Amino acid sequence: MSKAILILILAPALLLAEEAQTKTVRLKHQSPESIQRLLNNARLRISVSNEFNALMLLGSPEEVKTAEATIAQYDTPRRQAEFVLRVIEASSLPQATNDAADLVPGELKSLLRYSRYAQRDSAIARGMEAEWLYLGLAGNLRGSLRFRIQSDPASPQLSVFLRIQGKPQVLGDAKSPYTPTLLETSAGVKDGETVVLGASKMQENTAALIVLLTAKLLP
Amino acid sequence: MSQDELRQLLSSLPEDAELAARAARARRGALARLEQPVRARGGWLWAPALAVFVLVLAAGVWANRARRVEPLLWSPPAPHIAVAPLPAPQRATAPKRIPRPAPRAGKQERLELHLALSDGTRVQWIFDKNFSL
Repeated sequence: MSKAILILILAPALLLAEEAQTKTVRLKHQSPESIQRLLNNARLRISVSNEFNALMLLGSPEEVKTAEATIAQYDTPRRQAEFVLRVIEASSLPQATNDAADLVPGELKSLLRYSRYAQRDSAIARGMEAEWLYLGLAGNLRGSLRFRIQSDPASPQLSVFLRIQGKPQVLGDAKSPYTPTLLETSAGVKDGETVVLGASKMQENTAALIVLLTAKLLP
Repeated sequence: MSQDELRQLLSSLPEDAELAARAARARRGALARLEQPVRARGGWLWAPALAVFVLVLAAGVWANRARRVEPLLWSPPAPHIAVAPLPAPQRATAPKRIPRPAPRAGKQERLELHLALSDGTRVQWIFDKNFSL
């Protein structure tokens, strides 16, 4: 009788123990945290080792197999890309220069109703995927950019996050200056494509900031 | 002394009065021995208690004397607060607080517009209430 009870208690535990599988995967290119975020699954237990750049997976054989396939898909070499930024200030001030009017598409100019387009600065930034690129632009503007490869390697598309911050200002009796954000957006850019990113006020269209962003993947 | 005389001397018993006197003397001696230690024990118990009481009393008197502070031979004069040559306090003016431009509730602050021009150029335009170039 007691043997039968013992078997009844131990049998499910033994079955579960047989089902669970542990697998350690060493990553070659990506960080363990980024892959862990990707594999965020309630049933799969993941331990991260930054020291060995590895992930330890604990789950059923099917879950571990699926996770391994996902890791193999995303643990690819990080790509390098080059970005060309042309920073243009659009305004209707008669004294402003109009040296960047040819860079802005005519159809967009007809929509915007600005009369002057002055190029403030242009910059070329080159960096690795998932790394921050910082740009110091003319007129105390600061830019920060980061990209990721979004789609398959056959027709890659870059997901670019861009932030342009204005001149730091001291408001009131505040000790630290306040840096206003002029433009902050994420854009999907194809290899070799130029995207127009713009920012202005909602109603008072006195001036606007236009950034022509060209992305190019490097081999 | 002949054998007969010695046997007679050894077998002779004292007189009854002599026996009674000896027994009374022995009883008195035993009673005296019995009562003497009791008296001695009672005396030795009281003596240390009395000595401790006397010592405690003496220590109390000494401590009471030692605690007392003898009066000073000379008393210093009482201190007085000097008047400092300072100007009268004035009410400070509170600094003006310039509030940061707070966004109005209920109004949209940011609008992101995605356009595709006829030549295929994609435009992302952000209308931001706090934009100031």
